[in-house]
Amino acid sequence: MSHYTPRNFTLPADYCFRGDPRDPAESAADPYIFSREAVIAVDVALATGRPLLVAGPPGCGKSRLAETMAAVLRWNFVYQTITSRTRLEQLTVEVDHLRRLNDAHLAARSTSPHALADRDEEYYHPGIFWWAFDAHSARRRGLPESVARPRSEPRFPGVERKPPDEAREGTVLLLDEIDKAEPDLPNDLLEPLDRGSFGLPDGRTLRAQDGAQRLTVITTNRERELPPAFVRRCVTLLLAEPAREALVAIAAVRAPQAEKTLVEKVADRIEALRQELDESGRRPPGTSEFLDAVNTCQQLRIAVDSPDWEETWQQIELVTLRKPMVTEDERSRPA
Amino acid sequence: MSVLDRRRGEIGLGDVASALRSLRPADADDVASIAGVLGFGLRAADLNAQPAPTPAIYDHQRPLTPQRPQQTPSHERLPGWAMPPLLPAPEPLPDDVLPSQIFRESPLAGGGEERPAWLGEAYRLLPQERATPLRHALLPARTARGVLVAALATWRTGSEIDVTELTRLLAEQRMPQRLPSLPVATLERGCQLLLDFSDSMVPWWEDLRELAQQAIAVLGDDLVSAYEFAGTPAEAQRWDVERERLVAWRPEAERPILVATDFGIRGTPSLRHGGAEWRAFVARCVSVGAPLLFFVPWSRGYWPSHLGLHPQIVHWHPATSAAMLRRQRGLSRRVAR
Repeated sequence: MSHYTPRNFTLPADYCFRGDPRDPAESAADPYIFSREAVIAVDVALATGRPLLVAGPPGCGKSRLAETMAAVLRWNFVYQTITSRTRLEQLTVEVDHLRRLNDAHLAARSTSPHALADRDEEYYHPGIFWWAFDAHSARRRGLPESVARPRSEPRFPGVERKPPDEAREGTVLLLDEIDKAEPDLPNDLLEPLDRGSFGLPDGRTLRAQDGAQRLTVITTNRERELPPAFVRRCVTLLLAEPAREALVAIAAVRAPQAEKTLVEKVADRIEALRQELDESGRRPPGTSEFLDAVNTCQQLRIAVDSPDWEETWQQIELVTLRKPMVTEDERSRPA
Repeated sequence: MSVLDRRRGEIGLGDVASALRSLRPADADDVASIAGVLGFGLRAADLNAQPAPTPAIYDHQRPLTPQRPQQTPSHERLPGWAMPPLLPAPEPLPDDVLPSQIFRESPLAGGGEERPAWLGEAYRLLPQERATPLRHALLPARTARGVLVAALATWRTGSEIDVTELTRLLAEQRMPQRLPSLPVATLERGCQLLLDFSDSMVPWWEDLRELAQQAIAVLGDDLVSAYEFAGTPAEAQRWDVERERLVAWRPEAERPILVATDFGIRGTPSLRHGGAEWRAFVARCVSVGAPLLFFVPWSRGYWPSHLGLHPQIVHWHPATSAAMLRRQRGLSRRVAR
């Protein structure tokens, strides 16, 4: 298969992002090896301005792809993990009724005459779509420029990066695990994803800033089916579990201190386990669990040529890769 | 630009064309990959396809795995599992490959011979082997999602304040002890699926399997516990993959139960539906507050009338829609009150 060179971002020829020294340690993205499919999918999503829907088994690097792209592009990174309780308002804008009620009570008691804010916007809480569409407006809670700053400034929900010289500001927006949402949420997202806008509680419409760049990444473990209308609006990428050689390459950048023989031995076990667990209908271990196993052996200084390797490895395999939810006793006990 | 013009809509060929123009692919391989991620061509991935058949639902056409107990003859079988006949395992291919060669045949010599008389006769086409008739699913893909969401949704307290209720309380000069909030529909309780694989349901076995897959597609694998039974739902069982054994059904508090059955009537409306055991089953579900739904492939005239007001019986039919179900649920809630 031919080598693909992305047009909208820059990557080394081996598709390996090795980190960016300009990022402070607490917000630096880990090294990441892109697959050819991932490079093409991200490039297409950037070219078409469509959201990128990434599917794949847990631990295969879906969320990290978004975080890494933010670092590669030197864009802001905002994210929200979706749960069954996530609503559209949480992702766009919410009104803090409780704070308002509290302020009203305080003002009525005259203990603090300025407790209640003059403007409704003071009680707006911007969600990640607002931050991605217009971070300046979100920071001001939607207050017009003629008004002074809000009494309390909301916190940026992610990593902020200063764009390189003369570059426009951009944002990578990650909606993680969309399949955990109630079935209506993906349909609710069509409006902000499709039109780049959403309604504010006062009836105004907040639109994405002209010229602002954005890459929306949505991940799914495919636990639930997504509405076809939603899927058909996205660029799609199916990330598979890396094969043995790819696992060894990932370990070389993510756990560079680990011995090659150890890494290869663990990768061999992962391959064997994948086949065994897949046949019995259990979930096979992912890339993150592979790295856990390698790091565990590394931290505990367990060498593959040590006499008790087999015995120790059985325990490590049990807790990092197999993760059984029942004991052998329970399994053999009659129903 | 009008407000509507801002809509992007679904991805179309225009998006493919603009992506190809902007990305300038080097070769046909790049073109296929770019079209694939936009949902076009053979490289397009179906993200909604189930990654693997779920172990929670027993695939009756899958060869038995070593963990699964062997199937017993139909008369002695346990209820709830391994009832349908299994397909025989495919014959193994021989190890050695025979040599083969392709060569062109010379055209048949002809011209001199007389044309056979029967070639000009009117002849009757031999009856072609009949194609398998197209099966119409009881719950078509286009409506399955909506119907199952409407059927299995329960209510929980939401985080949005119920302004109407709050205003009413304040107008009555009553200070609420806690802020009233609006209820929201949720699927977070999942469901128990009880599938009737009795002989009487043979015409719908395929639909039962499909219903299980559809429920998993909507709710997720973790939230669906699928049980099988033959005749008596209280004796339903499921195969526990982790523990490698059959687990007997028991209702869980406030978790919806969806039973797909024909009540064993075999299409005979006059047959009474084993009243006592069905009533006991309903009472057991009521006792733990579990919402109970029956999906029945027969129309209303065939439904039992002695199950009380708690269970909701739904006609399992291609025309059944989410709106019908919501109306029916609203009605049954009012009647129950």
